[in-house]
Amino acid sequence: MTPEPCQRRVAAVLTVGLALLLAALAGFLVYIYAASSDALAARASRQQHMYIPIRPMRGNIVDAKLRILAGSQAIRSVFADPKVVEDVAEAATRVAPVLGLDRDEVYRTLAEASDKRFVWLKRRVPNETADAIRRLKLRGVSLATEGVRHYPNGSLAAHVFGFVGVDEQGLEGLERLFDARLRGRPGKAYVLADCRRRPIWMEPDDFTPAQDGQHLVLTIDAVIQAAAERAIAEAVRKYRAASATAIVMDPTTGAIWAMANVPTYDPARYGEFSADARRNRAVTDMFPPGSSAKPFTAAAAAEAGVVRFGEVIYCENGYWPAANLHDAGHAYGNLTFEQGIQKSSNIMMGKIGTRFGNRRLRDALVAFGFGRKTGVWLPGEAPGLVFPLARWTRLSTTRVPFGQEYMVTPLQLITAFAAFANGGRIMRPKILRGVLDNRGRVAVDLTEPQVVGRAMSEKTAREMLDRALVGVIESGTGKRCRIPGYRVFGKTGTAQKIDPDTKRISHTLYVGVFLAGVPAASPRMVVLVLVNEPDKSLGYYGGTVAAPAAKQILQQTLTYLGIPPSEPASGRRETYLAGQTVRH
Amino acid sequence: MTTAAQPVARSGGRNVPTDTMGRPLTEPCILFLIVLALVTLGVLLVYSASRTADAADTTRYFPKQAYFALAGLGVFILGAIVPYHRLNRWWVAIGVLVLAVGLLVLVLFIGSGRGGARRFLNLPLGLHFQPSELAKFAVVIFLAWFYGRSKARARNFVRSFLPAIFVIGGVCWLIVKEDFGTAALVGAVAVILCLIAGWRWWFPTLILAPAAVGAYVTVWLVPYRLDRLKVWLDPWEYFTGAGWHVCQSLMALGSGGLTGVGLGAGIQKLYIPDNATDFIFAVLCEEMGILGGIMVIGLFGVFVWRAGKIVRSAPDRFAFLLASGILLVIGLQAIMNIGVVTSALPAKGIGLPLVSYGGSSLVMMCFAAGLLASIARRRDAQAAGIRPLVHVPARRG
Repeated sequence: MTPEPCQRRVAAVLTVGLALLLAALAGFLVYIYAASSDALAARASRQQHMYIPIRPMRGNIVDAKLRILAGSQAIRSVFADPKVVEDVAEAATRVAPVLGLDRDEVYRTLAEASDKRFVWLKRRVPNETADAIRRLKLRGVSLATEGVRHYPNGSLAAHVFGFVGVDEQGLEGLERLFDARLRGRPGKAYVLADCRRRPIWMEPDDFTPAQDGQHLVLTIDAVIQAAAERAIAEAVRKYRAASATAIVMDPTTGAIWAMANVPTYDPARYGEFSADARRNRAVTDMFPPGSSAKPFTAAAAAEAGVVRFGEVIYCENGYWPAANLHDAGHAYGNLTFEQGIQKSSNIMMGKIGTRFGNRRLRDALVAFGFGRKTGVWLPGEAPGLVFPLARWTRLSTTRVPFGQEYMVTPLQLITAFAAFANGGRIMRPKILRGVLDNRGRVAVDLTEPQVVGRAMSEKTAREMLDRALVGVIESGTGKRCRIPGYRVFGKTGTAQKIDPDTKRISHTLYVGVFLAGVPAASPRMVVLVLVNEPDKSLGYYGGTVAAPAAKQILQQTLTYLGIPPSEPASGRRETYLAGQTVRH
Repeated sequence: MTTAAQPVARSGGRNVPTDTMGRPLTEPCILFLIVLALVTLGVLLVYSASRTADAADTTRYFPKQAYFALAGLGVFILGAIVPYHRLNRWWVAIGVLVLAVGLLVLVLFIGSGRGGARRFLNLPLGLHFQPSELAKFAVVIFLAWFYGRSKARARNFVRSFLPAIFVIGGVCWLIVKEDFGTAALVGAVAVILCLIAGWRWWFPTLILAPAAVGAYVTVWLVPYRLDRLKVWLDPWEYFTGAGWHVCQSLMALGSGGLTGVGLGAGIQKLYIPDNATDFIFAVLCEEMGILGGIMVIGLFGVFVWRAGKIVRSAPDRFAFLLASGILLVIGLQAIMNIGVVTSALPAKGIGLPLVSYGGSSLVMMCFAAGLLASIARRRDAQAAGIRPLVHVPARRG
């Protein structure tokens, strides 16, 4: 029947041979299933699952009225997986113009990282750029979401909160000190992923949400801070100073309402500013306090009874040869104790110093908090400098009382000055009002004031305020800080800096300081303004260069806080009713 | 409609497949059902495997494969209707061969393909043509014609061995550069076919020496092929490198278990490169389990059985050789593919016939299966003593 003799044999061989091979494969399949199915499935499951981290949002830094000073938002960054990029040259050519980068630079970045799996091309790109990159659909070029700090108030209070690095790690200021709290805790999700590690399915049973960072509530008030920054910027411009610092403090609690420095910097672009501009001079820099420190030794001496209010002291008509002391500017004869403070007589302070003695002088400085850190929660605080008694000389006895031979920080100085306003207590300065957790509930409450110690009795403080410090403004060296309607108290200071070249007291480098508070009857705030190295030809006395700025800050703060004047403004009788001025 | 009265010669007491009306199914019908089953399963699996690298385009292969499947089934019917002996002309056999060789040469110059291998010719409408698929059957048709001639003298060295080896060697040489697996398949099929046609037993030994040199050149000088051999021995050693395909494929077999995770529900398939083409069997095993795999092997087994019957009863020498060649191509390719996926054979790029994604392969395979049906039809017609083109239930033998 068949045309070929071998046809049946061939058909049988082919059929049986191929069928046997197929059967062998089926057997092998069964063998794989029986022998290693479980191990293979486990291994497959292992490679299909992975944990992906969930990024927490960094906490905000807000002022006392919860206005955001530093907040975080999500932003996209462009990265590449050089191993997946097929054609480096083509990728560079297409990506570079979108990112606004140089093509060769992108090429080099990709080529140098050719054996890596990850390299940033550009971080923190605007949304439009990110979308454009997505549209390119280049293999190996992808987007990642990161957090970025934003500063709605620009550089306001930048020295206080500091700045963060490119990975949102705190590098300076409160950002660094409270990095752990601000950072939050990353969560993780157990996901099923495809071979390019893209999540397909999230296992609901194994999911840890990210814990967003906590928020810092500062004692800083953005409005007062802005007033302070404006005022000292103006002072620096007007007197061509090298730098300036202002601090506003609530004397009863030690809460810092404003802490401003010039020069300042933009925390969003901190890399473009020098370390000098980024330094928080209010806590890191020391200077001899000069005349601004006279009230402290004077108060201590009055407290000890070596001098009384109203006591007349002879001021040697401007030169006291025994101690080789001059009174700058004016020659005074007889002055009462409080007049001596108001006119800022060095000779009188020197005489008080000789009555008081080195040991008690040093104890007074320590009692006012000099020579040790104030304990404010800001990084890099300097302790100031008060020599041990062994290094005091005979000259120290007449020099220390008017603020030479020791060094203070601006924060120490205003903390000590606040003692006059709060009945003699040295407060621990506060920069943090509290910490809120990520749902806005109070996590840490820091509003309770902390008293470090007592520098003088309440009576001495009140007497110094009423009899000496108010007079400084009314009739003494601080007339430029008079505010109509309010009783202001204060003290000027002009310190000669040590010339860094000659290591001797300089006659061209000055620090003008002004301390003030208002209202005298029950002080609500104290302010410090320090103008460093003003142009000597334009003025260098604290009462000249610093007092106007202090006045500006005080005035704006009084208005902002709505504190009514205690007495009618000069010559006019005015009644303040519900914020409206009604003239009689 | 006298089904019951139809004499069923030779099949005596055996169970004969019948249609719904009790008539025995004709051979073309059975072949069509096998092809339909494999192609349908293939379209489903290709759809399932389409969810690969580009998540935005989850139906990249599916519509094309569905059109190819329809075209393939149409081509099957075409092949079954056209009398196969129309191919038994010198100008048809040589023409197809020359066309295939020409396209193979062309693809070396203007071909496209992934990973540096040029296997495709770009056609309009976004289609690609793979000449090596045509070449497989061109060689089979040529040899069937060559040895089917009445004056063919298969045992003669000069008039049989030399021309045949010239054609086989030439085609294999053209293919091997880009596609080792297909070249090996074509070579093996052609040599077995020549032996069937009547080569002396020692003819193939003459090929061994050049083949050894060729193997040395292609295996040892092309680095990744040597790697593939090493990888075959221990794929896990090369997990992140050359062993990736096979390891991922084995993990897919393992995750499927006995009955699979369900069609479309596979995850491991996403890790297998070429999961719609060379490794579609792994997708099948993950989603339908070992049982699904055995089912497909069984379908190929049925195909081999039915095609073997056609070979046995082919009405003439050309049909006998043609049917043997087609049986060998489809059977061996299925075995090679499944062997690679199960790591029983070293890795090479070769698809699962009728199932894997790919229009050229699917259409050519369907046409070949249609030719088998055509042979069966003529055989049945001869047996019934009636002219072809009229449907007559078969008298077998």
